[in-house]
Amino acid sequence: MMEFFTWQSLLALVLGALYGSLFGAIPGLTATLAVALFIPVAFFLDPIVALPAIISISAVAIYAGDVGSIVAKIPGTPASAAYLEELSRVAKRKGPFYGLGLCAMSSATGGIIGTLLLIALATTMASIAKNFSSFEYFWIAILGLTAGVFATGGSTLKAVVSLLLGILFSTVGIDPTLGFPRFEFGQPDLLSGLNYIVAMIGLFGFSEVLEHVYRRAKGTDALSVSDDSPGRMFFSLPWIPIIKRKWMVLRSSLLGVLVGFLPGAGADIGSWVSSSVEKMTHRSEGDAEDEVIVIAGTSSNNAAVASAWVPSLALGLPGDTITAIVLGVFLMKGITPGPLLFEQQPELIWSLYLTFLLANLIMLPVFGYLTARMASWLIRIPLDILLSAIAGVCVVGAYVINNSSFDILIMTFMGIIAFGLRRGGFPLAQVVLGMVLGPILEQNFMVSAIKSRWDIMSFFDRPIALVLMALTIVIIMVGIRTQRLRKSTD
Amino acid sequence: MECNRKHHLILLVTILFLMGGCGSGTTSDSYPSKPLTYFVPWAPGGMTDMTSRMMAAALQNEIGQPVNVVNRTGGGGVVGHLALAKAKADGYALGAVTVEITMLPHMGLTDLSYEDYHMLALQINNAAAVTVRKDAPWNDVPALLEYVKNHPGELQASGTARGGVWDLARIGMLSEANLEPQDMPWVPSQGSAPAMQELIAEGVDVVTASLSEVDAMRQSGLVKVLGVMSEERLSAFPDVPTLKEQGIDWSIGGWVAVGVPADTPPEVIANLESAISAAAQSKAYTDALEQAGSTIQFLTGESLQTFVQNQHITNGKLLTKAGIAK
Repeated sequence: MMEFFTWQSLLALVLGALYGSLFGAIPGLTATLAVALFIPVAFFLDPIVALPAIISISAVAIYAGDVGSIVAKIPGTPASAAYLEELSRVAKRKGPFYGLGLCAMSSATGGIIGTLLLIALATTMASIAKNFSSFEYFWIAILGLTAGVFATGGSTLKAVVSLLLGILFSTVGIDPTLGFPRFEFGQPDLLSGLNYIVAMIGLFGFSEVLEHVYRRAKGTDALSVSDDSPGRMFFSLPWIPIIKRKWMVLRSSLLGVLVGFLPGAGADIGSWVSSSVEKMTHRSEGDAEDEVIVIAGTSSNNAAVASAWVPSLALGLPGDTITAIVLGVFLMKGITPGPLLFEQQPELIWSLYLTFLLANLIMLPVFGYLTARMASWLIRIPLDILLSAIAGVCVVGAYVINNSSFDILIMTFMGIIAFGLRRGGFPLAQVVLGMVLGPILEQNFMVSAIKSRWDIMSFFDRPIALVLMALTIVIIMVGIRTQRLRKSTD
Repeated sequence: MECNRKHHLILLVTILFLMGGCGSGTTSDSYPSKPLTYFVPWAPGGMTDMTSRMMAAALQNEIGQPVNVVNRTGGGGVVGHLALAKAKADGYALGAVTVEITMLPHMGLTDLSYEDYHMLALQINNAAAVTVRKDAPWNDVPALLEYVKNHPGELQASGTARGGVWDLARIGMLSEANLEPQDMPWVPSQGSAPAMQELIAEGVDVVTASLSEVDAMRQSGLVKVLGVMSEERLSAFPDVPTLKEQGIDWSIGGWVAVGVPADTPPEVIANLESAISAAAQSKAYTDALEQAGSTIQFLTGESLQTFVQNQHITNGKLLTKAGIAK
C-alpha cells in the first residue's frame, strides 16, 4: 500500500486534478474526453501513476462541469442538467462562490460516501450487476424517464412533451439494433445521430445568448458577487444546509451508488432520480428547496463515479468509457480483473480506495476553489462581452466533440428550438434526458424483444425487472399526489 | 510604469515565440512540414482507437511532426471512413481503415469502398472467438454446434450490431458446419461489452467477439472460450484451440489498417510507407499492442491489396447469405 503514495503518484493526483478542472469547466470538453485524451500517456505510465491521475481527472472534471452551469448556463454533463435551474438561482442569490461551494462540498461528500459504500459492498454490488440483462436496462431507462417527468417545478405535461421531443431527436441516425438509417435526409453526417452534448450546448448555452439578445431592453440579470470572503462562502457556509439534510445526502449518495454501478447506466440517471425524489418530497419553497436539489443531484452523481468502477474491477466489464479505458490499462499491466482481484491484490484495491478518498477529500475542494475563483472572475466580465464569448465557446465546444463543423449547425438549430421552448414554458433539461435515455430505452427494448421472440410478457418475468417496475409505479403515484397537493395549496 | 514594462516583456516573449513557430514552418519545405491528422472512425478507448493512437505516437517519432488523432465516430463507421476518403489527398491526412470498409458497401449504407483509399499497412487482425458461460455444458465447438443442430433456433448469439464483423463470424461458422444462420439467431448489441453483459446475465448463450475483447472476463472466471477463429493458435493465448483444429475450417478477424485517400501522390505514399514500416518495428509500439491482447499482422503493398480485395469478396458473400446485403 505504501508504494502507492510515492511522490510520483501524488504528483499525478495533483496534475490530474488540475487537468480535470480546466477540462470540465469548458463546455463540450467532458470528463470522458479528458480521460480519453490521456490514454496514450496512461499506457506508457506505471499504473501506480496512471490510475491516481485517471481517478482525480474524473472526480474533479465531473464537478467542474457545474462551473459551466454558473458562468454560461451550459451544464457540463447531462447529470448536471438535472439541477441547472436551481443551481443558477442559488448562484444568483448568494454568489458563485457559495453556489460552487455547495456543488463542491456535496460532490465531495457524495464521493466519499460512494467510496465507503464501494469498500463495504463492492463484491455484493458486482453480483447484482451480473444479473442485469436488457430487460433490467429497459426498466432502468423507464425509471429514469419517469423521474424526468416529475423533476420539474412546472407542468408535468410540458415535461412529458420535452422528454418526447428529446426521444424523437435520439431516433435520428442509424438505428441501433437493425442498422437502418432514419431521418438522415441523405446527409452522411446525420447517420451518426445527434450528439447530446452538442444538443446540450445549443439548448442551454446558445439559447441563453439568443434570449439575452431578445430581451435586450429589459436590462440584465448579472450574478451578484457577495462581499463575504470567498473562502468562507466556498468552504464553510455550504456545510450548513448539507449537515442539516444529512439523511437526504446519504439517501441521494446511496441512490447514485445503486444506479452508478450498473454497467452503462451511470451517473446521469442517478442524478436525475435523486433530484426528482427531492423535488417531489420537499414542501419547502424558494431558497431552501433549490439548495436541497443541488445537494441531492451533485452528491448522487459523484457517488456514482466511484461505484462505476465496480463492474470493471469485479467482472472485467467496463461500465462507461472511462472505466473501459481503465480496464485497458489494467490488462496492459497484467492486472487481471475479477472477483479474485479483491482477494489476491488487496493492496491494489485499497490503494484505489484511498486514492478515491484523497481525490474527494483534498483535490476536489482545492481545485474546486480555484475553478470557482476563475468563475467569479469570468462573471464579472461585462455581460455583452461575456455573451459573445459564450456564443464563441458554444461554436468551439460543439465543434471539438466530434471535430465536425456539421455539429455547429446542429448546435445552432438546438439553440433556436430551445428559444421557442422557453417561450412556451417547456423545460429544456428534459430534452437532454430524452436524448440520453432514448437510445438506451430503444436498444434494450429491441434486444429484449428479439431475444424473447416478441413475447411481451418476458418483460415482467425477471425479479429485478419487477422491482424496477414497482419503483417506477411508486414514483408515478407519489408524483401525481404531489402535483395534486401543490394544486390544492395554490 | 512597472506594469507597462511587464506588458512589453510579455509582448516581446510572445513575438519571439510566434517567430520561432513560423521559422520551423517555413524553413523545411520537404514533406512532412506540418502536423498530420489521423482519422479514427471509432470512439476513444476502443481497440481501433488504441491501436491507432499507438501508431500515431510511433509515427510521430519517425517523421518528426506531430500526428494528431481525431475521432470521427458514428454511422457504424461510415462517418469516419468518409471523413478520411474526402480529406485533402496531400499526405497530411491519414487514418484507420477497418474491416467494416469491406462490409458497409454491401449493406447499401455508403458508396465508399476499399478503392477510395490507398492502404499503407495492416496493423492488427484480431480473430473472433466462441465464448460461452463458465457453467455451459459444451467444452468444444463441435459439441456446441451439435446442440445447435439438434435444437435449431434455441441458442442465441451476440457480439455487435446486425451485420457486424462478429455476426459474420457466426454466419461463417454455422455455414461451415452446414447449418443455417437462423439456427442460432443473432441478438444485435452495441458492441462486445454489452454482449458480454448479456451473456453472463443469461440473456444470450454465445458471444463471437474477438478473444482480446472477452479476455478480461475469461480471466475473471465468468466465461470460457471454446475456440478461436484463426489459422493458428494465438501466441498470447496458447491454451485456446482454433476452430480448424476442431474440424471447422473457418477463420475471421476484425482488422485495423492505416490508409490515405486514394489520390495521395505516390512519392508521399512511399515516404509514409517507409516511416510506418519503421514505426511498426519499434518495441514500444509492438509491446503496447500485444499487451492489449491484439494480434499483430503487418502487411504492406501487394499482399495488403490482395488481402483487402479477398475480404471484400468473402464478406459480401456472407452478408448475402445472411440476407443483409442489398
